[in-house]
Amino acid sequence: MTTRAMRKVLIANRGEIAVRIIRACREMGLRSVAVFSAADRAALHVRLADEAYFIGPSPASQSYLNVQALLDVAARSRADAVAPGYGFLAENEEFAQACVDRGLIFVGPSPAAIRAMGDKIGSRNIAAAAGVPLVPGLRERLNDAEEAVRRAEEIGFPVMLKASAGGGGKGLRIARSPAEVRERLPLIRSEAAASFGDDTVYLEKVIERPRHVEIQVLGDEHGNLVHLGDRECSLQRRHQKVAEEAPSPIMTPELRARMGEAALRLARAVGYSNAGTVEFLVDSDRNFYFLEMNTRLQVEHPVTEMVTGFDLVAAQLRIAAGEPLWLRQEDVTFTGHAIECRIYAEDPDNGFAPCPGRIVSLHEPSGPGIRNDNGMYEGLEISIFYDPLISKLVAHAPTRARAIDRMLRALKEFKIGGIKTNIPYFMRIFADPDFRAGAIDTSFLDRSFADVELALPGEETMEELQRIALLAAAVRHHLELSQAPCACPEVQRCSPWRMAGRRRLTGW
Amino acid sequence: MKLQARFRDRVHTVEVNREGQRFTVLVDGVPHELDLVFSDASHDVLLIDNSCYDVVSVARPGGYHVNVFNRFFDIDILDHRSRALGGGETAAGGDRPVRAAMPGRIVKVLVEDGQEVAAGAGLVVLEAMKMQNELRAPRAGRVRQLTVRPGQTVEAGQTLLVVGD
Repeated sequence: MTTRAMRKVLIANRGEIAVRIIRACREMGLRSVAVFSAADRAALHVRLADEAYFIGPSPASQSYLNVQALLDVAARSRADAVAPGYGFLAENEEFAQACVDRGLIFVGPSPAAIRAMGDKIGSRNIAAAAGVPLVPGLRERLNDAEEAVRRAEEIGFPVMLKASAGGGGKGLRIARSPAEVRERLPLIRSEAAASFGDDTVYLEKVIERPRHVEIQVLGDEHGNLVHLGDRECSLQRRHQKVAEEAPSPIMTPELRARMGEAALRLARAVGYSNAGTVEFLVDSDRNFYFLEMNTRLQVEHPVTEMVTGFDLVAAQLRIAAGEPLWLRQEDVTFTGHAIECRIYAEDPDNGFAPCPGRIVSLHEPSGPGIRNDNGMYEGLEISIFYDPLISKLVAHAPTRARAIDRMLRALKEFKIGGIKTNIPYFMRIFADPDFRAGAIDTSFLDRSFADVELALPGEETMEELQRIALLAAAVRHHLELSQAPCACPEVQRCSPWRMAGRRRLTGW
Repeated sequence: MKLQARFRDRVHTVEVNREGQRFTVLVDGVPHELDLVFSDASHDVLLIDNSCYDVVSVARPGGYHVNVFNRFFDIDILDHRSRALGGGETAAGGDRPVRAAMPGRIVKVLVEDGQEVAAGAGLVVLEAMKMQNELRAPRAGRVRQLTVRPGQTVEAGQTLLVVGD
């Protein structure tokens, strides 16, 4: 058994995922090194890490995406490993290579595996060669609009135009007719060039009302691979996942075995090590088609952890240290059902606009079967610079129905004061009979929840809630006015409204 | 204490009577028994007619931004006593700058320099993070120092205009 010395881990990320990795490090006796931008001086990951280093101004391009700054901190802190989490540089092969070149352990797959899966056309060819079913479509780039129209007609409309360098729900457009192909091909090409620096575009057949089901894989650096089952990620708003569950409501042991085998064939084909996820679309006849492979930890990894009992982040670190895989496929079992909600600082009543601000009060849900992977605390300012994900709430229960009830209970317990969140949106979704029946697909939310009056989180009607708000405001006002006068000079009397006016950046 | 509370366009007459941590609050003459079992800077736990509510009320100019079960309500308080104390409408007086909360692009300017506006009137539509947000008048008054025009990009914290006397 060849293991490398790993004593100190630099976490090249922020927010809840940095906190998650710090926790795993601490449990394993590894020292953790956090990095932070100007906006994140007081962030939770900075408070929880053993060491923390400033890496630059608030925009991610000058901090969390600044490879040189991160490598400098690795050197200064004498870290021997770099954990990228998800997002930022997690799937950047140059960053992984730069770490390896400096003798750092990159907590993830090899740069070659990242490169092989980073390109959609390339990964489709690898998948086809490995006998993994693909969404029908091209396996080479489109040269011009007339070729695109001809290929689309062969495959059958509607088709999806896709940027080969895209992924994660970005860089795709549907086309339902030759005219739409001609109109949209140049658009997606210029978007792809601007967003990914690569204007390669191809097309796939559109699978009607598909589910998004993915397989978690885990491999060591000695060729051993297992899968940790499936996750259903069909609850998406505009191609972005908002809630995930494990297992999929349609999963059977037989289907899981077939999808798991396909995922492992693909992983084996690129010599995959560490944690990775193979995403599939599943049609209404339960045929599955390879979509893409994410060569990193996923946001939704906690649902797999809950149903398998494995700590995926600890596993990543052990594998990165060179440890051979300590479990066989038959050791992987599944218990109960888990659901995750991505709690965002955004306003569901106002087009899901980001809603930055200060967390003035916080009560986190707890109790049986509840886990909250949280990146905030009372008093923290949620900035505008990053993804508005502030916490991932996970409910685990023996059955799906009980997991949903448990999640609804926890959502009602969750009290976040000072900013708006998408909690009311989740309460509405989880009360929906179609959702509860598991009748979902990737367009379910955009179809059924695009424009609904959001939810009442319980028995109260909206009118009752308004009355409660009115009463609460009246009591609060009475309290504020009856407080003993403060020590401020008379001219600066601390009226709550004046204080509020000073605190706020904008008026109302 | 008597006051008027406004939610959206409805104004309610509210009378607050306090005895220790117990309140009797009349809303348009209808009484409610409230027991304030916990209270700190902005967080109150209230038993309202013995039903339990965990409420966060954040003070803002002219009222409170109230969170009940993660639903948000903007309640305006119109109250003589707070005016006398230097709060309320008087505190909300003077020049009030309207600033961009985040970097973005001006999509629309809904007012002209010198125009009289009501509190809450739409002033400027700002597009940021791909979302359009209407910035509203922080007080009733006159628009001054209008420095932006449609299409212009603005920085976070930049003053777009001032609503003054």
